[in-house]
Amino acid sequence: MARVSPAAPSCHGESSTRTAPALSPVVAFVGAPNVGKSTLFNTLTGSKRTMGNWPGTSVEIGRGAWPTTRGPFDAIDFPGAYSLDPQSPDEELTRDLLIDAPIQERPDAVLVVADATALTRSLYIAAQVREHPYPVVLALTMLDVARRRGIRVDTTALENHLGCAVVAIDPRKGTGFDELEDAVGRALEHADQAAPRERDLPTGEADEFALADERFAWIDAAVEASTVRAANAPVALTSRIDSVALHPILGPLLFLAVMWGVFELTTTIAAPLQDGLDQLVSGPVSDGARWLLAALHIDHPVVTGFLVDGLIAGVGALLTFVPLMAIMFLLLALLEDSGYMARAAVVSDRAMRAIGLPGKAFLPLLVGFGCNVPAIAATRVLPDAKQRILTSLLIPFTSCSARLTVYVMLASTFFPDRAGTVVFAMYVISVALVIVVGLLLRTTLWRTMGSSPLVLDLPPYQVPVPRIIASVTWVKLRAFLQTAAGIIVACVTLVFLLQATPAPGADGRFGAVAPQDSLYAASAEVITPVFAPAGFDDWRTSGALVTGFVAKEAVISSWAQTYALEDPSAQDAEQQGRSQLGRAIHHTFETTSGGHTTAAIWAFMIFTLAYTPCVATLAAQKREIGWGWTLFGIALQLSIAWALAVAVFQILSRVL
Amino acid sequence: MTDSTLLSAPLFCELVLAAAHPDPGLRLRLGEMGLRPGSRLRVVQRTVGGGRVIEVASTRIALDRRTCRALAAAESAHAA
Repeated sequence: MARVSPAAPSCHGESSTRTAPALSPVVAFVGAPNVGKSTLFNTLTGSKRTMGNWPGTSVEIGRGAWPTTRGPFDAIDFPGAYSLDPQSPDEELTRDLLIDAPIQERPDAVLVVADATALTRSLYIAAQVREHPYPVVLALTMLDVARRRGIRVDTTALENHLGCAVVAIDPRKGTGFDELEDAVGRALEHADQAAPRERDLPTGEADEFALADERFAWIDAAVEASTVRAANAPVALTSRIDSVALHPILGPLLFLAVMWGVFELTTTIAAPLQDGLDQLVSGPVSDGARWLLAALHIDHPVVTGFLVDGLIAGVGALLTFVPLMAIMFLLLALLEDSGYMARAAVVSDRAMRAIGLPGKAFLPLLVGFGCNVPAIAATRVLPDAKQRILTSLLIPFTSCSARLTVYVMLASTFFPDRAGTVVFAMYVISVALVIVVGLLLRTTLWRTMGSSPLVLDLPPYQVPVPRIIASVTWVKLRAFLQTAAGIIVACVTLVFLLQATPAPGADGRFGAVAPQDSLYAASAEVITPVFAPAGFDDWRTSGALVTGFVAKEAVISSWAQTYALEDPSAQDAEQQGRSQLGRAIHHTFETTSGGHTTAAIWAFMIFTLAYTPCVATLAAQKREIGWGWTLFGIALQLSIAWALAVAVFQILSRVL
Repeated sequence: MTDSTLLSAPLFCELVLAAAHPDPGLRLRLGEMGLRPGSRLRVVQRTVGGGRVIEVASTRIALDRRTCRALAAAESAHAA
């Protein structure tokens, strides 16, 4: 069969994700979703693992060094798959590397992880792997859960039927690992004796259904010979919880409560931590750096400005996202590990289907209303790469809390009697944008992406293991920091340089230049005419939008800087509306709009809602969907933002 | 109980899946998850949007309304 992913390099090739020494035996971890495969992988590899896209693909793979008494094994954690008949890019890569690749490029052994409570569906992929001359070991999980349900599995009988070693393990408690290491070691030592299983196929060419039926018969025989079920199994706790979690009325209520909790935690708890880090970096750290430069007599304004206001400020901007991302990754891991994530997908499936997305897409879209950065990371819960890309492109249209600072300031200034209503209207517009753009993309670029039916395995509920949750959170956080650091630091440094550098022919020197004489103002002047049809063509306004590209929270402070006025965003809404900055902005909009101030303000707020998200969001997008789609997203957002702003101004200026 | 679909079948009744799903891709995927002609199962819960939770060999699977309507089921002789 031709390789479906010819660009995917071999398991034995050089790779930035490999942490085991070169020439270590490669062991592939495969298995159905929710069988405990990744928990086992994470526990065996510990800190010596990385998460990243397999080179040349958008499929995320875990890879790590599994330390054993025989030397380290190079462990690869493939995405969960029910079979090797690919229905997604993840399953395509698994099939490509295990089956379609030349033998010398394939893993040296396969560890199939199976769930003792759902043996029938866990063994299909094992049946397919056993059709090839691989050394195979089956790791059997959830035996404790099976016992509670009145199911007993005879591992020896199962071993005899499957023709490979079967090892009972508990990744959460850490039992069975020595036996597993021993079984995999022996399988590798006798790899030359590995033979495919015998198959009972009809004569002539067998179609895919005949092949599948043969596998089902093999599996049924193995399960029949090795499993005993109690006649009256106790009603599982999972069933009792699901009677609420999936109830037609109680289910959505519980879902909304959980989503509210996620939203609150990612904003309320992260916010003071972010503020603290920001104050630490802009205060003691920056002061300390200035002192050190002075002590070393290298405190030239250029050096100080670049290092302190550029680089250190950039690193500070990156670090402020650490609490937010850590909390989001932690919550995702908790929801996934507890088993509730699957229930959330069922409850929200019908609503999300209206815009062609699966139920699980609700979580990242909701989180986006707090902050777009963790929302982009949350798209990993979607199994399909096309769905992840589509959702990642829609998230920037969710109005994050940073944009709220702009709405409050402008609404208080221009609509003092209806400020709350105006802000609420912006959120309604945001939801409408997500739906409309979602339908637009769904009927154009994503028109061939079928609406996948809901066929979802519901794993048993379990208490998350703190050690595993913390480990998973750290690996994901580390990966985000490695990807985002360069982009964020570079952009913050660039904006500082523009603001600190005099424009050609202007007064002032580096680090001591009036805002209107800086390269920042000159750059803003270049793009200002673009906003003339939208009624806000002033360099201070367009400059604020440029700064907003770095961080939306910086729009108001940037405005204050260009007007040389105090930033009022720490005051309450009424005070903001009566501030000097508010009056100055009012005068500017009145001038640029030709007296149609209300229309211009609405146009500006809608542009702020829809244009590119902050650079940290772009960094997160780049990590999740690559540069190509990120740049497409930028073009999409700028186009929609400008078109809407112009339309709003042109219509409202004639109507009001 | 005459032959019906998973959508119309009563809750907690022992059933046998009578026929495969007409869509080839979905037929394979359902089969991999244990839902294939002859499988013994029960419909244990109704969900939001009119879907069902199916219990087959101690595995719980959530299906949407349309998929349930396309899967024919008969009362299990074993239960009878």
